[in-house]
Amino acid sequence: MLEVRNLTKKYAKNTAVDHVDFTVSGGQIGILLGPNGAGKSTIIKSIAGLLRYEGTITVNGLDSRSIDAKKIFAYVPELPAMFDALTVREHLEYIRRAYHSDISDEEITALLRRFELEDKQEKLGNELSKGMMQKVSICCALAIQPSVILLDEPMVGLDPSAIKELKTVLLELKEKNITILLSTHMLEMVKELWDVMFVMDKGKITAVFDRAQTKDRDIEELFFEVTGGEQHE
Amino acid sequence: MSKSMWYVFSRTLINRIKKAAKKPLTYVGLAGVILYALLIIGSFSVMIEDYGLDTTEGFTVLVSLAMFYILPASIIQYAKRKGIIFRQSEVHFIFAAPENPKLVILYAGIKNILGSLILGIVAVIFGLVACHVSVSKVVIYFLVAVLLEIVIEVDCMIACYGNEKLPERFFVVMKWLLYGMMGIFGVVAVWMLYRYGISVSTMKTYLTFPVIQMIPLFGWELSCLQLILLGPTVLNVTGTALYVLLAVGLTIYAVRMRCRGEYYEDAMKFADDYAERQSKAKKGQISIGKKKFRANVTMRYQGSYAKAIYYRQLLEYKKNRFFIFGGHSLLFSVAGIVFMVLGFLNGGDDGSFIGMNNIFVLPIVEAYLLVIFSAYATKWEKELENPYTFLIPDTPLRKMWYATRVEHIRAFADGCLLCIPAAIGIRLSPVYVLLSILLYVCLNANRLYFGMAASVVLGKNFGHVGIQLLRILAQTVVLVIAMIPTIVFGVLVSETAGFLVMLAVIFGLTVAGAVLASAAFARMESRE
Repeated sequence: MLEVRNLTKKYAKNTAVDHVDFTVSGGQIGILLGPNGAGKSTIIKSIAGLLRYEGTITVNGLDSRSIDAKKIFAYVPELPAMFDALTVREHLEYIRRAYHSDISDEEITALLRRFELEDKQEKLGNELSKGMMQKVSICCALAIQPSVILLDEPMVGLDPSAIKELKTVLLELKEKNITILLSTHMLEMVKELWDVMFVMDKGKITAVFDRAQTKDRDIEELFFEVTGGEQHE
Repeated sequence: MSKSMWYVFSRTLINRIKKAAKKPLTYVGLAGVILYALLIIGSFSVMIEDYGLDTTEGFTVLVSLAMFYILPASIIQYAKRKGIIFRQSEVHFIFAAPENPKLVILYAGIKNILGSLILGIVAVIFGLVACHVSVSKVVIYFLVAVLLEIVIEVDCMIACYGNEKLPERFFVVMKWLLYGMMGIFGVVAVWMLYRYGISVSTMKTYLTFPVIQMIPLFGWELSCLQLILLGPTVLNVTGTALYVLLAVGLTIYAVRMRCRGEYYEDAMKFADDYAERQSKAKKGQISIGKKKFRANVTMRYQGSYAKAIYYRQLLEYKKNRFFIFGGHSLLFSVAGIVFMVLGFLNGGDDGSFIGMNNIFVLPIVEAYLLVIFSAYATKWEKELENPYTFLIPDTPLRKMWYATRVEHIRAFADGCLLCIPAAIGIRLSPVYVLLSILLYVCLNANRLYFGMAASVVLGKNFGHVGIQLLRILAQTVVLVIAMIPTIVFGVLVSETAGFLVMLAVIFGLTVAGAVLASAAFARMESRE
């Protein structure tokens, strides 16, 4: 479970995130939706412990900054950055060691195969295209075998087959009771995934929708109902 | 460093070595470095013998000077919360991982630590071979002085960078205190030089001077070095004791200090800035600090098609704080003033300057400055990274002309800054001043055009360094071609004729270069 309480993040005089509260339970896919600059990435980075913030963030009851919390959560940043001189396989090996993950060599190979990276295993980080980096980044997050996973605009740069695979993987993780928080501004991509949706604007959560209570209404309809924008068919 | 971070470090090192081993250029570079090192060591050995530094006392002086050169700069950097480089990959994979934030600082600072260790080993070898210090003293020096210095450096890294308790103001005060300490070292040094003159014995007196050895950290380290290498005195034993206490105290503080990774936010920003600087450096652009742009600047485009490139560049320059002037202009102004002063001091009544005809002074200075700045990147090269440059419906030659037009104006301005003051000093007639300025514009255009032509024609098979070398080569070839008729006409007809022929040849080469370089604007793939 991921709990965010009274999260506020300021950059000098600008308030990027303003007293935000939300919870995503185990086995749920939470979506942070909003336009560019709404504060989605700031929330994800705060949860990942990359930013100073005011408020409380807990991962399965543990302070998100603690080492114990970091052991159980995975983070896929918006812009992946690889170690220049490490191969794809070595990136995964680092993850296995850093997180003491139980993932086996065979499971790593299967993961790479799933994201069509099996033949790229020996490529160095600086030899990868942006799309491939994103795939490696996702594989690394999955190799942690986390209890909570944070994904910041994970579909950007992925090819259609990888997007399809990622969606399948996320639904599988949900089945395994993993907590998932995904930020995006691409409504189409998360249509069939979401359980709980947090609509953001100007650093605040302006609406929260629970799929079970919205009777499977279309995500676009819900989003534009809140933001007042036009729905595109 | 944790096992996982050690894995990243070791694999990175191994992979880099493996990759480098496959490139023939690595071996050429390595041979050059070894040769250079041998030359340095050879000349240094002779020098220290000449100055009588080939003794234990001399070794003490040398390692003390090395300490002054390296340690204060590092510690001041840490106090400013700088001096450690974080990369975006570390932000992505290490900051989010369950790694101890203090160990992450160690990982990022490993280059500094290894640098200190390698210098320590070099000092040990140097002490044994060149200064004939006894093995026991050198071993104790390494185990105590070198390692203790590394321990203090690491403590400072962690205590300054990872500190989440002390306010920012504390570090500002600490930075100024450190500057103050360096000031005391400087004042004492000036006083001693004034009193005893420049000599090795003054240096020895300086390093054993009580005030120097009482200065915290740096002075105490000098005490430690002297105790190990020269034997005990009341002063150096006291200084060493304080040095050890400081190391122990700092270590306890660094270990017990709270650090939960709040510095990650600043480090993430540094990583982004560093990546941007690296990216610019790869393209041959130098970034110094942050550029401030002026807003509310407008530009009336007085032309279409390729002309739009020129007006857009002009708009960009108008937004710059100093318009088309930059560090380049400052340097040219300084050079102009220097040559004005030199001209007044060394100019002959017959119009000569240091024994040569004054009309050739400025062309030589211009050529020299151009070679020095051959890697200096300009806006027109950025045009080739922009797809719109290729999509604009105009001829490649016109695109190239308008993309480089501002550069010619800048060259004219820089030429004026150099030539006008220098001409006053070396007593050059206004006609030659104008011709010298035009010559600089042509030389600069040559640099642009032949440099671009070289990288377009041959550059695809060379890396960034290769392209830079090619550009220097192309530029040198142009200068050599221009020099031959200049010398011939200068000797056979007159020096004035030689000058005019030089100008004509360089102008002709510029036109040829422009035609060649315009190929770069034909297709985008020519630059890929």
